[in-house]
Amino acid sequence: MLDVRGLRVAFHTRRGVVPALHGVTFSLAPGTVTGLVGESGCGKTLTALAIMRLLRPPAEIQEGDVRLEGRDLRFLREREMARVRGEGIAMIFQQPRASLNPVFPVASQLVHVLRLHRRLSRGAARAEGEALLARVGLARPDAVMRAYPHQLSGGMCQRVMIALALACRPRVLLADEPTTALDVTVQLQIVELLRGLQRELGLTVLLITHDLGLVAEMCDHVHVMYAGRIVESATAAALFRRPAHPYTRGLMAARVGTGGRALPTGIPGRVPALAETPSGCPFHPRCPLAGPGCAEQDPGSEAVEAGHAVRCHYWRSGVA
Amino acid sequence: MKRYAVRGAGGRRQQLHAVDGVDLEIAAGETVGLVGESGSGKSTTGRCILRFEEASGGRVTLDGASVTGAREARLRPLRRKMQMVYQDPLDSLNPRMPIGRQIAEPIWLFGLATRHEADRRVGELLDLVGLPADLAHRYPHQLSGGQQQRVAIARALAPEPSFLILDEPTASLDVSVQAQIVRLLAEIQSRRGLAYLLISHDLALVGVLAHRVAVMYLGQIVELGATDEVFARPAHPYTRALLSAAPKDTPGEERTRVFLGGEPAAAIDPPETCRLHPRCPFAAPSCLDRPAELQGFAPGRAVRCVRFLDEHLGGAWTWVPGGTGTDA
Repeated sequence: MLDVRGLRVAFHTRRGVVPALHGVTFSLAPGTVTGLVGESGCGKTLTALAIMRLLRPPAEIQEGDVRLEGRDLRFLREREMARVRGEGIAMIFQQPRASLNPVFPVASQLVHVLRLHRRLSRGAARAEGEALLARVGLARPDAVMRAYPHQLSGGMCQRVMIALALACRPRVLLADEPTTALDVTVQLQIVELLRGLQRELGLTVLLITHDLGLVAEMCDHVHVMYAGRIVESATAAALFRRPAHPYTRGLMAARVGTGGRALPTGIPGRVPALAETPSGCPFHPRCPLAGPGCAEQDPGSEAVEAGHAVRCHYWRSGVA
Repeated sequence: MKRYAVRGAGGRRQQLHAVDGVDLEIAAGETVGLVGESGSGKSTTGRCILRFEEASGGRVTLDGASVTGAREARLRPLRRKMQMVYQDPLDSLNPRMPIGRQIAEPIWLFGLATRHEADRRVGELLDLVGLPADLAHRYPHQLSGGQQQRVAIARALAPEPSFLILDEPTASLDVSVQAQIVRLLAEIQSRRGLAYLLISHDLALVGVLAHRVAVMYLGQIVELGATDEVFARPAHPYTRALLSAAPKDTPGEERTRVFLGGEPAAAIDPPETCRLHPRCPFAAPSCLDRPAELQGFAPGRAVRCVRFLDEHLGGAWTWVPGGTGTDA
């Protein structure tokens, strides 16, 4: 459905060109939910923005292929790309209140999108807008239509954003940290909603998150990112059963609460700033398995087993 | 033994009962977790304890000394003993002051040391929180989120408090850094015998750090007890909903979920009867027969649930393994 190949993105700064994505490659199979997992600065949001062609200077896509159902998105004219955004690929963002326009009521934001992409009349758009709000589980769609974002709770805003994203019947949904700012019971509701809609509409979903729990809940496949690269790819089941990359294993061990009352294990050091990315394998300064060659050569992809790949020189010594 | 008895209520016009009848005692070396979602009143409780907000009623005592009644002169030495660490370190750190000076400030202000001596203590504190001494000259924006939070912790520890309120201390941090900070907080507590009040919506965090937990909903404590006990055998439907809402650990895990209907109401002019009733999956008409009071039902455990208390005391309650309680 969506193929990303060799995506390279860099920032033009006063100090020169700073690479941010180093040849990101992955595919989304139709109707699946794929997680893009990593901590801040790993490049997962940048990847989504690059796919949507929402990057602005100083960020720039230098190289790579992005294809939606075989169609090349990189060199479309802006007018055509504007139609892809919404009808082909839709995106929902992390801070729901910050992503909705605060000076317009929900109705006008929905109607605007529906009229623009689906060419509905004002009346038909209003009706469809209300129907969408009901579809995303809002109890009083008429009241929500009249409300401004600040009058709605975080969970309700997130549902509105999902409604906006679905308004144009996209094939693909990019969800960037859709549950992070929400209370845990509301998070669960949103997860259930997304899963239900995904099944019902056959959506292909790219879920961007730092939360492994969310991955366990929702994802069929997972790619783990670090310093602008995918360092491990597997089915969700395989990733949790047998994480191969030391960074993935570190993330698993850092989860709070999964070891009963045992304290979580941190990963020493911290994520490097973009301009200070270590040479060779970017994880090597923090890696318990680091050995000769790690500081010199960025590992290529190796198979752990069918459908499970890792980029690490010494992954075998860490895995049972 | 240090005791902090809090019984408070914060109210505003039209009587928003932000915090209603909260009683807590925290001993030295102990962490009590205050768990709840937005609007539960947990952060307001924290602020009232420190008197950043004035409670509308109730008492806070620290080591026997009254915090709520004290006037400025009496309050100052008490303030030294109780400090707070916030969710977002950038909120609490001064962007225009090098961090070494920020850590030293409470030491001078409380007259604990000369400037020279204070510098030495800053070095010790940086070491305690795992930061290199040469960071003292940097400004907050030059540090990572995890480092900033360590600075905030160092500064909170500078006046040698006996009590720390941690308000979502790891929520804005990356996963691997969260783990580091959790370990640091545990280590500091065991080294210095501090009492912690851990305010968080993150049950897992509370599960790992807190010895006892109080669950809040719409301004009231609805369940109280030893953390292990409450998590293994939750009594209150809201606790059960919270616990079951946590994401799975692995994709293959089976998890039965307890769902709450609707969204929480604001606690404006709330009823005396159970405030969860409109959303509760176990609600029965008899739940509204009398006011919902927080009552003990086992050593160290209390719950505010009419149905649970009726059935438990009547012998009809059985704990279903896995902590989902009785289904009805």
